[in-house]
Amino acid sequence: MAISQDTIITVGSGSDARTFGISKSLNNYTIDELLGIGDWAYSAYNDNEMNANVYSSINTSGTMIDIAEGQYASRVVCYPDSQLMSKGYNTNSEGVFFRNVLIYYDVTETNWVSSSVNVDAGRFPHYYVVTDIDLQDLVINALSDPNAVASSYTTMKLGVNDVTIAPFQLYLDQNGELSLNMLLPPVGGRISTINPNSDLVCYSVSYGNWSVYTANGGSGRNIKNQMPYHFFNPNHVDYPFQNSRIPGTQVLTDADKLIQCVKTDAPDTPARFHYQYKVELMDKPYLDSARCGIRFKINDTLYKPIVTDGMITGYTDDDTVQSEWDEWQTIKDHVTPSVRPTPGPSGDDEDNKDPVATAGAPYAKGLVNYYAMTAGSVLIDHISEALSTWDLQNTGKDLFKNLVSCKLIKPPAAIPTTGSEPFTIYGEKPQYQGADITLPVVSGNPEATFGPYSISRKFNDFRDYAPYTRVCIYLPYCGWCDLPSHVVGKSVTVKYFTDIIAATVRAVVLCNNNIIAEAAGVMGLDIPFTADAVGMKQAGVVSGLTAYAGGALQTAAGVASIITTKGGKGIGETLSGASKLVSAYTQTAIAFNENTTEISGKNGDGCSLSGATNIIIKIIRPKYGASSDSPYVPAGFAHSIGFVSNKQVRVGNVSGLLIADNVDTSGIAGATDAERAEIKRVLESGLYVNTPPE
Amino acid sequence: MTITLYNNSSAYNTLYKSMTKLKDVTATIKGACSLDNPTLVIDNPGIAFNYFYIGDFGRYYKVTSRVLSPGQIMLISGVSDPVESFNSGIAGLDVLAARCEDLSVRSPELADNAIPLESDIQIDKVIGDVVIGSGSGYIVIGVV
Repeated sequence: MAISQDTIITVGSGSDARTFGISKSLNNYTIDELLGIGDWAYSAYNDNEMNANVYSSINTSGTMIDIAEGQYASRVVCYPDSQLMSKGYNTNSEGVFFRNVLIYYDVTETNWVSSSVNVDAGRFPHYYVVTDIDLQDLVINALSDPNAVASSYTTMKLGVNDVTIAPFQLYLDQNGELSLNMLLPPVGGRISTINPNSDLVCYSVSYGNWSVYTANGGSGRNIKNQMPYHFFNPNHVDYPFQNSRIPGTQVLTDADKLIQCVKTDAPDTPARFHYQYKVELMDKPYLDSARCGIRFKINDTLYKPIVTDGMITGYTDDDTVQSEWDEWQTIKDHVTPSVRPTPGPSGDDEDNKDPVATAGAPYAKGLVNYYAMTAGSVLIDHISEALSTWDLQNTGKDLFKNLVSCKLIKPPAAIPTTGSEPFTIYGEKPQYQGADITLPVVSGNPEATFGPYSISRKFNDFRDYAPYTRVCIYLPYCGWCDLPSHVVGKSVTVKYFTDIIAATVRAVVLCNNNIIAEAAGVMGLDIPFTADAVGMKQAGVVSGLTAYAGGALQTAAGVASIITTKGGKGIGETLSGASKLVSAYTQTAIAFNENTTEISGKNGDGCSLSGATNIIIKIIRPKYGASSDSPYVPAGFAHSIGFVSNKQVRVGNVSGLLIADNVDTSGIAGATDAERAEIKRVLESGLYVNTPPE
Repeated sequence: MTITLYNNSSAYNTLYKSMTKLKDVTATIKGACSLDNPTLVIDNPGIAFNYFYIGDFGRYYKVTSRVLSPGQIMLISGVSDPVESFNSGIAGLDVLAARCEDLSVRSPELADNAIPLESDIQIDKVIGDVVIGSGSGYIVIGVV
């Protein structure tokens, strides 16, 4: 079966994602009920045993009342006139999420009208699926998604009065290996012939404890994705029984076979047939977040889900209402829904995501080893003591010249370390009170992600964007920078990448995985040791200790004083530890009547550490006068001046003031040229449209 | 011919005007009569009216003058109101709306210079709830 425009394809993924479609025990309900004919016809089952509060209700007027909601909620309902709906999202008590993607087709408009997409951007493919190539892509991407737990693909061919579930299923072994999963698990359900006039048999496979439920009139239940799936040859109708093997079962091992199956084993058939495919990916970690939702259309009104913090809280036909749904992305650009979420005037192309580094600055333990201690730690005193008592004369090793850097760092996250090792310098292990000094060894650069921070709209119109509204962000360590105003109504995330060697940070501001701002800053104070001076003074040690004793000692003491003074003012108590190092070194020099090192008096940029420590986003907007309610215009504005429209309208379909552009009045029969000209003039200068009399 | 007298309370540039039908009267054409500006003679209806409809012409007219002559004869003149006369045709026109009172066809993301803006500003803040770089920090030493 070619996947054509009259095919519904739904995709589900996640720890408890189910295939979508009518999941309803047809033993208890008629197809008419499933089609939503009859007041409050439930189109999905309410499964209390599963702790699922799943329902879908359609009243006689075809208005969607509500749909699957709650634990394990995920349903798609189709019924005449293609009013499809799905509200599937959830997190269960264990914090496991699932998500789904739904694409549907509106036969009344003969085009694709909407889709919902996954919001876990970059971690799972999001699709508008209309071709078999797309289906193939879908499978391939699902298989290659390292984070996917399970994925399901469901195709259903729409047709009036057509409601069914999984006429056959297939099992796709991710590893291409056959397994016992080829065999059906204990079967408690039974075969349900959904379409009496068809030769297809729909079957519901029970799984584990589920058999209890399926045995209890649960045939027709939809499929849970953790179970193995089998391809049922529809020509075999005499199957299966418990632990039996299904005649004609095929095990598909790759995407190509799946597509081939779709094309050959399920050729185009009358509209009363439905097809369901499921691909399972196993042994994958749970996803950490998930959302799903669908925009749907009822009687020419398009509704979108209002999503807050990943949860669908309602639906609205006002596309300007803020919803995280607007941020959800598609990576396919060749199929465009008829109506897309209203973009900001900045027109950012969010389909193309920037490649954001997932790892920070490179770090490797090598020539230089870095030890990290909590500022103020007693370990600093231990190092000072060990170095100050180091036997320079007998060893001939000046350990200070191998102390290449000393920094005070306040990173945005904890410095990663790989356990502790004895403090080793110049191949020696200076001791404190006869024991090695064990220090944490730095293993990498810390990284941190903050947010997302939601930037709300105020006016819900053009005033929310530049040049009327300005958005800027304060990034600790880096200062203020401007953000493009199209972030209004969206959320931003800030990632910090660091380099502890240079004590620098890079803050990257992301919106929908696109980099929208970057800033660099300093996260520490550098206390450098001048290596050249060390070498020069070391020569002095070798050539004769006493020659430089008096003057050099005086110099060292002076520099140490500078460091202590500046450091003490700049970073206070913390640097006193570093100062102790300096003092200890000075004491060493004094002890040996020798000076071997000059210390730079330059400190790092302490200003970066003295600013605010929280991310701050300022949205600077124009004032909107006395009116405090949307749409924030003076009273009477709409009636006297009107809002900008730039849309084609039928005059009789609007109300109130209408000012039209370049009106063509040739369609008005019976009017003279002069009257047409007058009508044109009135329409272009402003016409008030009243409701026509009864 | 018969004409219908109305009292209209709507502005001229209104589609489907609020008109109250008063009475039908017999009228005769006075002199040369144009479709756009007819002048008619009727018996004094004894009521105030400001619109009339000529069924033979299929048009509504706004009264421009009423002159009462001896013998209770009234001379009335009118100007054609094509907005009301062709209201159903106008209602069926598809037009590009430049501005509209109806919020359902508003394009809020399009800039609208007609909306007054104050030069003063208001500032909304979003403050992250995480203190970044908290604690006393680290002393990091590098050795060879």
